[in-house]
Amino acid sequence: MLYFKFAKMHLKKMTQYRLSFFLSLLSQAIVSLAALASMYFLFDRFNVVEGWSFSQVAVSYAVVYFCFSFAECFFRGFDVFARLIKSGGLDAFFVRPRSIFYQTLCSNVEFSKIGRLVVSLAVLVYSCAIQPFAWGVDKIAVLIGMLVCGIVIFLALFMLGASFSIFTVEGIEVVNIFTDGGRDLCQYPLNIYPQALTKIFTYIIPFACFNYLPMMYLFDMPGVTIWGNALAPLYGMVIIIPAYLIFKWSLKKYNSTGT
Amino acid sequence: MRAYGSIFKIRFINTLQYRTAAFAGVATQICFGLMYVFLFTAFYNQGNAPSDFTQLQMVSYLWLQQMFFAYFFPLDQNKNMIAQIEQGNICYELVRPMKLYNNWSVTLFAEKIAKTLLRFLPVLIFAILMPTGLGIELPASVGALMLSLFNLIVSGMLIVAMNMVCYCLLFKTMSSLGIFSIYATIASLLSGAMIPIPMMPAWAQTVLNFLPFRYTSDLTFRTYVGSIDITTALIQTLIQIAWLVFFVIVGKLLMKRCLKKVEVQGG
Repeated sequence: MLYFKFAKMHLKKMTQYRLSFFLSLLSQAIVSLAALASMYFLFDRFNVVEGWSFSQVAVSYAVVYFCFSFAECFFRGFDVFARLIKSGGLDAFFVRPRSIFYQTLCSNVEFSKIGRLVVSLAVLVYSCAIQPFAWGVDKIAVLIGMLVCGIVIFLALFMLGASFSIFTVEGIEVVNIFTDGGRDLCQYPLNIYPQALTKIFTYIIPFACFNYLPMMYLFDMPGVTIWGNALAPLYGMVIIIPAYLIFKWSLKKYNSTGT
Repeated sequence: MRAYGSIFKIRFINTLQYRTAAFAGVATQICFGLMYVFLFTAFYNQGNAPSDFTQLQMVSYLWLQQMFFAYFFPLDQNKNMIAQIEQGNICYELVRPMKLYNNWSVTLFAEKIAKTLLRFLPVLIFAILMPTGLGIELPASVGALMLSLFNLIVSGMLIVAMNMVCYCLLFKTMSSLGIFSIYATIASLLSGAMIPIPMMPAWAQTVLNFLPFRYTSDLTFRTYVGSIDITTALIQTLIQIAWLVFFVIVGKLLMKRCLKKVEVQGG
């Protein structure tokens, strides 16, 4: 597949500067470890938050970070879409016989994010292993659903950000409120926040669908249902449809920057 | 001296141009501020809050963090300066009749202040308008306010002095990728930017007292909210100044050594 050829090319490009690549990997790993450390400090003092223990929130942290860094690594082209517009690289995409979505996907793979991915995967495996309950087939399926849904949601957000930057040209920091902010916010179970915030992150940006709601099912919290909790990741993935349509529509409105 | 004044003015005005970026910054800071206020309040509601850091103090601390986010950012990556080191254009700087160390520190400091001036006021107004428990409180006392303003200024210089050491190391490694962001991450954790230091375990607080990082934002904010009394704050201000002197000396020595080794190739 063409994507893998491009991925290989990007990997080769990055590993030309070996020390630099290694340090970027390390820095990404340290970023995730620092976030984990601050979470550990909080629980060291407070032990529990609204009925959630450290080991449970660690699962949440790992899921969110895994999905975010996966999306940042492999869908980086959408994340830095503004650069394509500014440099005029996007203009070339229009004349090639592949969809713009696919070409953007291939345009950038940020392998240094693997550092973050590895740390979050390790935390995920460890925190899942120390849970007191047995992992049945249903729970494993829900966990996989959470991961897939999270990746899809972050892709959708990156695509929305990309569509936005077609109109603003300049990359927009405001999108980070939703991606980075959502990531930091949703490492913690949403029921610790005020109702309004929980609603926004359930119905408008469906972060709750890939961690809070299905996680209640994993931990057998009171009042969980199959339809409302275990299957939540399926509802969350729907966001990709409007995101794709908006992306398509904004491309029609694209005016080249003329470079 | 007048030359440095001019550099300050040029960089200052130059940074003020980026008003859209500042607007986006303000929106981001307000959203993140609210988010952290909600998050840490949830933890405080569990009980077992630290006795020297009340909930109101904690919320004020978080808003101060957001107001001065650009000011206390642990490592300002000046693209121009990095490129000069990496690509060798530094030779032009070396023929100028002024000290490179002073030139660059003034540049970094001016950009820091300009970025902050564009951002802090809207965030402050928002934080004042928020109801009690979600917004910023008045300073602990007039003395605390005065001292924290002094701490604020020294902190900026301290961060710049620490950054200068990082830039000197860049002469050796020649690539800012990775190293700078590793430093920035570790420095933000150790200076209390990720969670306020008074909320950390006792052992961590003891360790951090011996490191320079908390004598920037943490000292300034805690003096303001009154989490440490004036006497302690004064003693820690002396430590802060000592760290500043230390880093300026180290930076200047390092810079001297690095510049001796710079070889300019023709072309």
